[in-house]
Amino acid sequence: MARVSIRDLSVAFGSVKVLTNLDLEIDEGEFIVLLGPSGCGKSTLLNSIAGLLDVSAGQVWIDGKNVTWEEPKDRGIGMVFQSYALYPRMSVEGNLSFGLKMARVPRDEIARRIKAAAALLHIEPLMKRRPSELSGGQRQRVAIGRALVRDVHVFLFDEPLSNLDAALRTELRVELKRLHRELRNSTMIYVTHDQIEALTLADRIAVMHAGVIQQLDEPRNIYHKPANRFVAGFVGSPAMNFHTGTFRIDQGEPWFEHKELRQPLQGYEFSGDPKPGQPVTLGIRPEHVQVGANGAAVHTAVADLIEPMGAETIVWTKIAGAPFSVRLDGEASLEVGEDLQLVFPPRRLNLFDAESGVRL
Amino acid sequence: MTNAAVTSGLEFPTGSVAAVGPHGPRPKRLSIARIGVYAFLVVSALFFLAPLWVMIVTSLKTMPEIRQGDLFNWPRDFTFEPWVKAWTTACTGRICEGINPGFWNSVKITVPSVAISIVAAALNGYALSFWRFRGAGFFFGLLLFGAFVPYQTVIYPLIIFTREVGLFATLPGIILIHTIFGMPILTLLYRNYFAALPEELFKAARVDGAGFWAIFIRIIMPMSIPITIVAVILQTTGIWNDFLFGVVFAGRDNMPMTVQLNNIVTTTTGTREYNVNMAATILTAAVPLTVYFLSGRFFVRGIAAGAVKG
Amino acid sequence: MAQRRRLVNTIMPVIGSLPMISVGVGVYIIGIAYSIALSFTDSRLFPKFNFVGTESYERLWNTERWLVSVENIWVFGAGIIVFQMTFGYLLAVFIDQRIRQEDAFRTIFLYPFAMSLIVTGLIWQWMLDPALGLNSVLTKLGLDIDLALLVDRSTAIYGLVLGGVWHGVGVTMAIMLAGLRGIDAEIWKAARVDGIPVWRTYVFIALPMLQGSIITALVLQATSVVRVYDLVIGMTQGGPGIATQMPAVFVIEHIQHRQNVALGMAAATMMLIPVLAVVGAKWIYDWRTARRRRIEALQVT
Repeated sequence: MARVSIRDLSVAFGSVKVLTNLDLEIDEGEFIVLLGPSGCGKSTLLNSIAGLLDVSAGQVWIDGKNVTWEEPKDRGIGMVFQSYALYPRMSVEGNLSFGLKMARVPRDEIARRIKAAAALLHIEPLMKRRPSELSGGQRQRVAIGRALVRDVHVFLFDEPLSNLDAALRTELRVELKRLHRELRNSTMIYVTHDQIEALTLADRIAVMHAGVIQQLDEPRNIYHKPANRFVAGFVGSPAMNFHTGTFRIDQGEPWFEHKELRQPLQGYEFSGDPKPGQPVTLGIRPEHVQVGANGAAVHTAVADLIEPMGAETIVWTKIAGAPFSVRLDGEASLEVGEDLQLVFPPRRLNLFDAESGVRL
Repeated sequence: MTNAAVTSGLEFPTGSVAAVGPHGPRPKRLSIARIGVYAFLVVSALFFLAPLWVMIVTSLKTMPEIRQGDLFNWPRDFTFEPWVKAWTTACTGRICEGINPGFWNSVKITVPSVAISIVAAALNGYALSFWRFRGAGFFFGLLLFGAFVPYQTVIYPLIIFTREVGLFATLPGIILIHTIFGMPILTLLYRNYFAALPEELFKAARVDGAGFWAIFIRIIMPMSIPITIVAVILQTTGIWNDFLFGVVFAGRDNMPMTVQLNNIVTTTTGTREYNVNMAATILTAAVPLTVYFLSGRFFVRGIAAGAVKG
Repeated sequence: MAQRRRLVNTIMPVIGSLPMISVGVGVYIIGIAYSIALSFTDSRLFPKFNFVGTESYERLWNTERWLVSVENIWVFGAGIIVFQMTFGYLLAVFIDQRIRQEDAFRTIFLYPFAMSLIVTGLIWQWMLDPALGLNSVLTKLGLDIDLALLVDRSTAIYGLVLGGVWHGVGVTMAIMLAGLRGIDAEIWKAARVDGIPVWRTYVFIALPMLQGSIITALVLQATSVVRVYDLVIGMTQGGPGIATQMPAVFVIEHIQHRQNVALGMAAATMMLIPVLAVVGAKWIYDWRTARRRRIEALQVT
């Protein structure tokens, strides 16, 4: 029953329009990630769902109820903040119980809920401690616990891992995924700018830019079939290689042409219908480039710069005058100045309209 | 940039805004809480403004009207005479020259005191921040401790000292006293400000060959305008408003405005002329009030640095 | 050449700090020592180092004027602190409510601090005048409240508290407001999501987080309470009778017209002790906070 429905939502601050006519349907029990760069509107959307922000137009529905005018506490949500926002002068137990005491929940019920949340999150031994005496991971768990004890089914996360160092981030990411699995009918709406978090945690990702959802899809499709140039460039590290050129039809076969780069598009799954002569952008991920000479078109490039990263090696070259990166296995031995033969498998290509960025 | 919201097969109804039901911004009810907040603030504001209002209207009334009570009423018989009298002919003891000698004395006291105490404190703060020499920390701690010491504990030795060197009841004497008592707060102010300046600046200047005074005059002071404004405001207000030191150290010839005001108001010869007294009070408060209203945020910053004068 | 330059650069800072050093040593070490020493003498009009032990202190604690002063400073201090802290925090909380006219209100609440304490005393003396002050307005309105605090020995001290609060509460408000604004915005959001009413957030969550601001405000208030002189002179001159005598007034009176330097110095020394206590307490608090932070930084991995 924990569906979240955002209908025709617009949020503006004065004359600045952050979100315009946004629609989003979130399933019960889904883990959806709002992904995008700073200023794309993802936090605004989350805060609007929470009720911390007034919307300019549109509606927010949670659990079949129109909560657009409801206070956050009446929306059936729990929220975890970037800084965790634990009350510093209260113990963990105090933090977990304060909201419930305000709501006049009976004492034994409070104790029961705290016990259940503490067991789920493994924070039983921390009950008497103050937030300043907890590690980053423990604080996050207490913050989640504070949302858990509210007996709600929608959890909102506002970049909870951004303040942590890389090692801790990885560890807590795994914990979050495990938690979602254990709380089977809880819907989780998660905001981040980190695409790795998005790809690993989400059931679906909503990639946002300038207040508009660019693509709403499973991580697999976001990664393999980005809907537009922005999504293609934002997701994936190192970023996708792009070349802007022209779409041609040569003897009935589709081609991409840019200066000396000529790539046949035979075997590429078209989503759109490009016209001959149309300016288009071709993209291919560094990890999808094949080294070798078995393909319809072989491109030669010279290795300019090599970045060994242990498990993989990134090789920077130039194709048609633009920098081009190729990902090789970490064991590959290569030297600067060596010639490379590169093949682009058509299934791995991405074609976008040069102006609108839409996938073709 | 694309404007397409692409979905992956999940249906959502088009035209999905329900025709009825809450949508858009929450209706802004002027809740009781909000009214209460404004009410509290307005009543408090009235509490703070009332004395000022009373001062002003009383100073513009005639004595007969004042004797009728009606403290808050605008004068029926409007008159500027109390002001003229306060400035030129009000009596301090046996001398009836109004409060304007006090005004000029206050000016003569305040301007040099502010200037000297600021230069000394800036110098001290500078030496402490950038040239930490042995014992500097101890002396600074001493100065800080001094900021909290009640004036009365050290006032007598200062009286004896100024008497011995012939500075008691002189203008240089009172200037010296104000400089001394301004040091702790101002040095703290400057030291904290300098501590926040990047030390690389100082190091670069040393590498360039500049010495103690050169760096101070050419580099540090030009960068210290904001804090100097705060210091000037703090000191001007504090020194102008001072009463205790004026009473003890200034002497009859250099009586500051605050002391003269008190003498005018507490003269027991004849009837108390409340309107003149109020006019004199406003005149005395005028300078720091003007500084306050003109300085805005700088004043608040000065307080934040711990204004303890008075 | 380099040698001389280094010497110059070592001496110059010391010369530059001469004002601070001379003031620090001259006034606050020698001066205080001098005052304390004199309190053990029998000086009258002039300082004489004829030591008589604790005679002055014994006389002090047998002087009604002094005993009244001490009692008054406690009543005054308690009144000032209680009212300024409560009223100041309330003002800060209400101003924090995103009022459109915030700047205007803040200007109004702070302007009394720009006025001299002698001016404050004189204004409030006029406001509390029994015949022509607030009383006359109240009588005309038919209200039977007697606000002529300064005429009555038992209520005069409350008049002083009123004037003091009017003068200084703006500063307390500014300090508390700065503290409130320094609280992480997400704490307010979390409390709102938790369903905690706004006023409870201010009292049970924000206020405990404001320890630093509270202590700053308390220290400032305590030090200005101990020194209170101008306000008393302006408002009551210590009267009626000796009902509003204060230690600071006592000291000055005895140095000047009462011609008993030793007694005055004994009083001045007594004034030093509570200040030392408060300042010492604050230093211990600061030291312990710094130590706790250092330990926390090591613990949390």
